Amino acid sequence: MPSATSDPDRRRRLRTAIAIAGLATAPLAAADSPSAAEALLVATDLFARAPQELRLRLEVGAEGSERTTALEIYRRGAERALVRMLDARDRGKFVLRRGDETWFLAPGARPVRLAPSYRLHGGAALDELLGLSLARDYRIAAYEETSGVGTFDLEAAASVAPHPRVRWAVDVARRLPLRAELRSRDGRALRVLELRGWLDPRALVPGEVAVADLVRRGPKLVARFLEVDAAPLPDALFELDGGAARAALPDVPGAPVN
Amino acid sequence: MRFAWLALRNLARNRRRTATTLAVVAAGTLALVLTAGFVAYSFDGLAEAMIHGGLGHLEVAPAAAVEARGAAALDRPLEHALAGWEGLRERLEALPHVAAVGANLQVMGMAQGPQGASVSFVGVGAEPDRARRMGFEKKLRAGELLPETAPREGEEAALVALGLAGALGVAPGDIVTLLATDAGGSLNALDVRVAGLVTTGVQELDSRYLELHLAAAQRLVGAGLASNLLVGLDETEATGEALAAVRAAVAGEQPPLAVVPWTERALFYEQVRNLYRGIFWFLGTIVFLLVVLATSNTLAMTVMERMRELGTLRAIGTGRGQLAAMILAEALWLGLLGSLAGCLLGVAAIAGINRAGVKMPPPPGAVDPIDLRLAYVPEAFAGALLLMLAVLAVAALAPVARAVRLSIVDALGHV
Amino acid sequence: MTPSSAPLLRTEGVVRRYRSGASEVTALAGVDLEIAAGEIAVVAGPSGSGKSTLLHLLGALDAADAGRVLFEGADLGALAERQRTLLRRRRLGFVFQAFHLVPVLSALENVEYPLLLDGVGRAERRRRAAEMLDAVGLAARLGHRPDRLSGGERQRVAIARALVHRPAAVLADEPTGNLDSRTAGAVLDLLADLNRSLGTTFLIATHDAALIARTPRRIVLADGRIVADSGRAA
Repeated sequence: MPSATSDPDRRRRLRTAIAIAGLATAPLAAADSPSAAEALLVATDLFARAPQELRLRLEVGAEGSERTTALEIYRRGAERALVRMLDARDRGKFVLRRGDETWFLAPGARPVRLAPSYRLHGGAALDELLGLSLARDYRIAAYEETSGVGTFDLEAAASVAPHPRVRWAVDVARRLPLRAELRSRDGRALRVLELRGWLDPRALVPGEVAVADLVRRGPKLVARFLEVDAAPLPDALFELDGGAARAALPDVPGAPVN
Repeated sequence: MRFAWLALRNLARNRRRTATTLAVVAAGTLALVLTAGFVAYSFDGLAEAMIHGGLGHLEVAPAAAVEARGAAALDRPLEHALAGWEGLRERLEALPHVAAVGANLQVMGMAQGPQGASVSFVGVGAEPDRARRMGFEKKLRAGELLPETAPREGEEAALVALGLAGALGVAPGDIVTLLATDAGGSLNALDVRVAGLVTTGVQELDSRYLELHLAAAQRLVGAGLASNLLVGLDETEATGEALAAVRAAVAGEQPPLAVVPWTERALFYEQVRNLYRGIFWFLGTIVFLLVVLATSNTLAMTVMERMRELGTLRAIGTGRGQLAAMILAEALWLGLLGSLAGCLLGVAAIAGINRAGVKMPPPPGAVDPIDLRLAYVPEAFAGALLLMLAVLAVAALAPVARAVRLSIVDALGHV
Repeated sequence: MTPSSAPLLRTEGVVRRYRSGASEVTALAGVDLEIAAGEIAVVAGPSGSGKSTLLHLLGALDAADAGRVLFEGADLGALAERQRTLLRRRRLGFVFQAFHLVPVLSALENVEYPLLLDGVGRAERRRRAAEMLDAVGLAARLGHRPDRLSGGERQRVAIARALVHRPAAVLADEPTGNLDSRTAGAVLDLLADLNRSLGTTFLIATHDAALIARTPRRIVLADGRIVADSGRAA
């Protein structure tokens, strides 16, 4: 209960009860200090420990389905990202993120600005794949820890934050995220992100992210990260008129050509 | 009728009164004939406007798509779109009464103008050459129509409805970028040049509508696909006949196809039709009652005034039935002559009104003013005539009863 | 023509009363009368003596309150309305003081009317009506409407109408009442002629002294009773 734990008396009683029960002891100390919780949030934000510029290759598809969409993502910090669609029929199409703006780039068309909630083919939102920028866009409404799992109740602080509330669960000891619940303003869980493995745990680059849509139901969406490498990226890649730079991107060996 | 001529003679007794009664009957007939003419013209006009505004006479669509949204829905989901329909089209175009069969591909998505304004749109990819052969009318307000040949890649063009063009801030010659999800679920975008601005005639639709060449729509959402085939006929009256022929022609197609006549798709048309029908019957009832009231009084007076004569006729051997027949015949003559006069006036009035070219303000939701025109409806003329005969027969009931019951001796002494 | 022995018309103790406001008026208070076929008779008497009532009863236009009215031996009170109508149409003729012609019909059409009622074909109707009008001296007036005819001419049309279907009896109620004496005389001559030539029985209600004077049988009514009957006396 985020609201209950924000009440000091209630929080004290809760803590006393947990202490008497002889359950978790040490992690509570972290919760006691807001700065410790903040530090934990910063340390567990996806891609937080990754290099500034990197290239990812991934497949997105419904859980249990053979059909996947192949994507390549060029990422420069939290502000710039270029999603390159690798499927044959989507050749030449990109989604470009520049700060708060998201653009769709296709051959034969001018750049089209997309709504921030735009989902890629397959239904994944960009922020679900590229990190939620939790430490930047949200503030901690409550934090508690049980059995080594720290749970943050986060509220959107920045107007660009795509979700009003997020519940963020982390493995406190390993400092790795476990799952995120994307919630509506009234606290209803809409989507659940499950972090199933790590391509590079030290860099917080996920190996597999499963997204469950609690509103529409249906199978979970699974994004499998196949490759990650750090590489310097040309600025033109992230410009709207950088078509030439994007066209010059090398073919991806091993990418499906369905 | 032995008494018909006598009854007709009797009408000449009080010429002014007879003329007044005839005028009442004629006016009632005129009201009915003109109303029917207006209603019929409105029906026909509405039907033709809908058919040639893009509905076509028949729609051939995947049965699953029709089932998903209902026959009346204008949009057919992309997931059910037809592929490889060209052979079917060829067969359908060979059927009698079929003027042309045009493939349509419906698209919906976001449109973005040159200044970045983005508005959701619904659009259709059509075949301008087939549309022309089906007699579809485009209400072009600026620029020009789409060329009939398929555009080359990079030269796609669109007709944009006025409201949508306003929201996007575009004029003919400007580029609009269309964003839509294709049949495979992928996002796609296409730049189109605004060839012309059109109106659909419906304000609501004008804020969202645009039209492309079929080939352009296919480039946006899926090569070779069509949402439906629209069948245009050489005459609307042949709809029933053609419906059966087309149904027979598409039977056994896989996936199964449904054939929907325009009347089922134009839900709005049926509503208007029912409304007009209601109005017509309401008016008919009022006319009926008014004419009954006006003429029954007159007929009662003619009987009252002739009591002595009627008594004499009874005295010299006229039977009660004969007397009743005579009075009824007088009433029917009034109905017949009055309604014939009304019909003649109706013909003249319709011709006059149609020649005058009166404009009426656009109906709610429509864009253009409409011409006040009336149709000649033979059934209405015949119906009004029969109705007036019935009216006069009803009006004659009381006077006939009175005449039949009269005491001869009293009547002879009546002054 | 000599009256035959069997009476054409006969009344037996006929009583007819009318309500007039609160009081009851006895128009006929027991009338016994026989009229033989071929007779011509007048019913005389002051106004209100019951002349018209008697004619109405004999003409099957009205029903007696008591007693019987017989025509050709049939009791009129026992006949259905339809039979009475047929009797009036085929066996009786009526002439009224005010003529009662149909104003919108020509003289010929007025005379044709009783034949029309009986379904006689058009040509036959025309022929007989023209003949009858010729017999009453109106051959030149066939196409005239009543309002174009003089009073005497109208009454002649009425007489032709009463006779065109060759009835057994003609009942005339004040037939000369609306005519000047010269015209009245001509009408009477006509009736006498027709009685002789056609053998039609005439019963004429009148208080025209001239008419009474020249008719062989005179029945006088007073207060609903027969006070004198020259025929019975004879």
